[in-house]
Amino acid sequence: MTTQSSVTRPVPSKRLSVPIDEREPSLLRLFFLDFIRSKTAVVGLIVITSIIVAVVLAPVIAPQDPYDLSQLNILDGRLPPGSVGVDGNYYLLGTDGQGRDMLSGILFGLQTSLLVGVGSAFVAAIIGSILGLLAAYFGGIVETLVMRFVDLQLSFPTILTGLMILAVMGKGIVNVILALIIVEWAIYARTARASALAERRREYIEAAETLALPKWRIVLRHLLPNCIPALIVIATIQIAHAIAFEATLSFLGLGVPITEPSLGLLVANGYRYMLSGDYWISFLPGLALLITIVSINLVGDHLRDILNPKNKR
Amino acid sequence: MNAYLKRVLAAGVVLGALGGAPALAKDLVMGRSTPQTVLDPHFTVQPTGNAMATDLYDGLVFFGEDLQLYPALATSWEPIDELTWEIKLRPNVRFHNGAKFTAKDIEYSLKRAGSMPNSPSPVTPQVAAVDEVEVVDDLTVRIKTKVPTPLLMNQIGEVFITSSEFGDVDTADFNSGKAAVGTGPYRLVSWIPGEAAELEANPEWWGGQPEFENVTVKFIADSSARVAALLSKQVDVIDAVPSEDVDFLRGQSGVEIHSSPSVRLLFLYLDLVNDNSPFVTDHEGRPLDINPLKDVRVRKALSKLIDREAITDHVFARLATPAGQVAVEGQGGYSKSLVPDQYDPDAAKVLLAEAGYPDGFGLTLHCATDRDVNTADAIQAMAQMIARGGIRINAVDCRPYSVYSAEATKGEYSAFMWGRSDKRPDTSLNLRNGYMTYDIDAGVGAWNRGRYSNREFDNLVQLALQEFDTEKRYDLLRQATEILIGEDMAILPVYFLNATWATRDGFTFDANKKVETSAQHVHAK
Amino acid sequence: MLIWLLRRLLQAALVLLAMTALVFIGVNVIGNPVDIMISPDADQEVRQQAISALGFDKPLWEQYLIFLKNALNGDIGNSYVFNQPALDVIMQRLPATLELAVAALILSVLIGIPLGLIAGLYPEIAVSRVIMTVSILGFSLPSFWVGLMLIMLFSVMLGWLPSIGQGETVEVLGMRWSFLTWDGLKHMFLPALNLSLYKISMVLRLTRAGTSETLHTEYIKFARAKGLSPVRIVGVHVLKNIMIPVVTVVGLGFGGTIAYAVVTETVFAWPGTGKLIIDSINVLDRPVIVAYLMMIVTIFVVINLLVDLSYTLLDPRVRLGDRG
Repeated sequence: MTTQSSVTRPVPSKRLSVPIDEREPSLLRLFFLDFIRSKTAVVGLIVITSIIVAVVLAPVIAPQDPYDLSQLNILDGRLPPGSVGVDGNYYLLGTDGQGRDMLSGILFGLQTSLLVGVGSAFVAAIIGSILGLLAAYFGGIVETLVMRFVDLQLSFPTILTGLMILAVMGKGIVNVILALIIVEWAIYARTARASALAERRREYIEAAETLALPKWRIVLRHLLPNCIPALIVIATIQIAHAIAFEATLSFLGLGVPITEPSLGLLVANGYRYMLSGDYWISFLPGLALLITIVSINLVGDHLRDILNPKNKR
Repeated sequence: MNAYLKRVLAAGVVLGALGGAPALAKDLVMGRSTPQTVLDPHFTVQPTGNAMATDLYDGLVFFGEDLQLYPALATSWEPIDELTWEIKLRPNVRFHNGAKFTAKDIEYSLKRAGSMPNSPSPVTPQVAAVDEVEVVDDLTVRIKTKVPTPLLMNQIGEVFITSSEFGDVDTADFNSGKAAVGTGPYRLVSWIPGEAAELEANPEWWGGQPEFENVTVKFIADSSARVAALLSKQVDVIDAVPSEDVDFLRGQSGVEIHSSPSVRLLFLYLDLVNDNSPFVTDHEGRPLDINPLKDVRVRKALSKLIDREAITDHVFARLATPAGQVAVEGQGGYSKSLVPDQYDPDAAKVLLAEAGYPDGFGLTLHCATDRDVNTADAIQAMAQMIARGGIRINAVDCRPYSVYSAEATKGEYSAFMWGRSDKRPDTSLNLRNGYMTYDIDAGVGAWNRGRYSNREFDNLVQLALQEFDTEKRYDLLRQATEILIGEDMAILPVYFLNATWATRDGFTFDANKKVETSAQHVHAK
Repeated sequence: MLIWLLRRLLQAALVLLAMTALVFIGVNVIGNPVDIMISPDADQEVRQQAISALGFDKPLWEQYLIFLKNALNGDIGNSYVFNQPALDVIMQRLPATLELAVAALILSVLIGIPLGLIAGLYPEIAVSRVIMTVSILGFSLPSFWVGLMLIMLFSVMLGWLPSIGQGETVEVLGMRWSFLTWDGLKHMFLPALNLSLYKISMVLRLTRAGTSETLHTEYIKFARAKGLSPVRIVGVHVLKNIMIPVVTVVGLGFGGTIAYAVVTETVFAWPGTGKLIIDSINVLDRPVIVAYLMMIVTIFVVINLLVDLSYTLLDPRVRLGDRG
């Protein structure tokens, strides 16, 4: 049965499981070889890695601390790229309306955006897929409970849930992440359950059950791997979505604090200046946002392809 | 399906032809930022209820560009004793449906305005002083007041007059158009709540033939969409032009900008009452058990740290004016001697040292994101300046107005931006409600959020409120303001917003400080 | 089947109850509309009168019970802003949002599925790579920003399409619709495209993922070996297999599309419920917030039922009767 064999476990668990008959010492190497087959994915990985390095080094390499208001000068506001400010500062990528150096703003903003996107997607995926799998496997009261919660959650439009949570709890990165987790876990639960539900009825699961394998083992070793491709697709989409969602919250006046803008907030703030031609304030952080998300997705896409048990050639 | 919409539709008028052919010479399409959500002019004091009312209805008086009173439906008014005003009404005025306007309509409208159920923002304060309305003859009313009320006309002058012939009507009757019958320059043709309205000229208006045959008002809340609508010729006039786009719009052929300083003052409230103010810390961010903001030297130092010109120039593209007091020029109570503080960090340093804070202290600034334009940008710029002056800015926290207004009014902030419009002929009501000592029983100082309290100031305002002689009243108010700002710096006035409109080829606009976007202010070229 | 349906309806009622309670608590934590809207000339007495006239001085549970009692009689309350029944306020705007959401949905299926099939069937060709890369843009860019770009390009620079409002409308069944007029359709195009971009990408990616998975299954290989025509393989077997995720996403997403119209409607001044709800939250117009969310929940429950039903039709392995 091809569906049962040749499952390569995804990265999160850091454990690779393979069917016994194919076990070889060079599995990681195989995975690596598989991965570098796609040039775009490799480029994506390189870009992500450089972005992460740049973000970690941001406090050192950024010309300015964009969160320290005393370093900003309103008199330097809306300067185009390559300008020199009143105090002789050189702004490679120009400044925003507050006189914030765009390069520094983008570097620090990336930090926030990545934290928000990856952090929320990761936690939400774990919570959501566990609940979804349990629902699919056990059915009955567990499924009813979980799926009604999913319904409750999904029947609150995400954007409204976000608005309400942030209005009540106040702004801040942690609150944005919390809001995103609350908003997104249900999507993972729903997806995990949907894939597992179809899988659940397959013969090999029934076979495993008749073999009296422990339930957790069936869930973890058979249902979960089969849900992983779908979950990875959803997760890559959700990371991108989380970053855009945070931008939208900022556009609507919530989200992260205005003095510590994420990429999304930089885009949202700069958007007001687009009509009058000050493109760099919105466009450059938008570009950074885009490159980041596209790279994440290129890698995610390819991971999905090589992890999908049904795609084995 | 609700009844009123059906009726609107039955009249066969649904908005059309937006992006299409250019407007006819005598037609006008306006793009307005504030949506009209009710047509009942007595339901709310918010612009969502009365912005269009100035075209449909008239008041007893009309507030001119100098903010003073001019005759409208009333031709003259005078006190006959301390508690009675006699008002003569304009003859030969007719409502849009042909009914004759008489004193009965005044009695009716004032009564109705004072008794609207279920309004979160009732018009009651405007008629609170009225004890009894006596109809003397068709064109004369006498109004008895509960206490001597020199400002009666300022207050009831804001009430729009509707026709008494409809009797006991509710908001739905106005929304359906049935009762939305005024004496104003334009008649209602159709209205889609929050989206658009159509008006047509009332050729018999007492003020003369209106300029446009048909007026369409489209409500476009998003400022970029509004600008785009003007550029793509879907509308002829827009209001509330975002300052970011002003320079760009000036460069577009056929587009004209019309701007005027407005009565909208943005100022910083400071917590003047709590000893351990919630958002004051020492210069290292630790809680502080004394409140430096209670020291007038600290407040004056803060004021000198704010470079108002830099804010109006760079945040507002000069579409704001530095403020040094609560009144605008021409308004009763304006003081020539109160000029905006100049940016002077050295003097501020000296003042801070004198007050015992040579190393500064810590402060969090609060503001609302969705109330006035660019407040968040302005307060960040202020934070930069204050931080460079040696005061630690712990954070700048801007929140939605729904959350912000409740918390600010409860006194949960230490230093926070607020906007207040006062378009009255003089500042007496503004000073009474905004700055007199907070006192529930006396009903004064209701919105004194910083809890400023000065007996001398209170007495001056109290005297002004009783003073029938205009000159004397204005003088008392001027003295009171000089104490409020000049001596005590109870709030930090920062800037008056400009009101700004943009028109397309063929139209021009009377920029006005009352920030009215009525069709009467638009003229064809 | 009937019991399953009844159980579902009971659950829906519980969801409604929980949701309204949460809204009451949430709004109460934030504040009350009087403090937001009251005249700056009002004194404390006027404020107090307004507060008690609207019942905000009562304890929250009492306010909630009063609401429940009235709601059972079909009265959700008057909007504080519009001073007319909140449900009426919503219903006036619902057609505009519905037609926008449906248009977005149609666009997403019409564009998403064919492109996804191409990318799934021929993953190696250049066109597929372009499709996949562009699809990433579809859900990467914040929609308010894309909306403004669309306005900049098509309305301001090219002048092809109008960017604000609904255009000419026609009354059918007592509601105003703009998709029945040419002018209305022109007005609808940009906002519908803006709203559908995210969904197009989702459908496209799911279609591709499903297609390439299905192509590697035994039975497709078998079908190929048997010599079935490629058209039939794709048209019947592949499409059938990708329908489950697509129906899930498109169906479940419909409620979300209606809600996400918040942003699109704000940017394009589209007079629908999304714009209304943002304004209502801003002034804490509780009856409208509650009515809106009840409407969304109801729409959602209906969609959920339909999606579950269509599962059984599309994939007989999923049965309804024996589980929740």
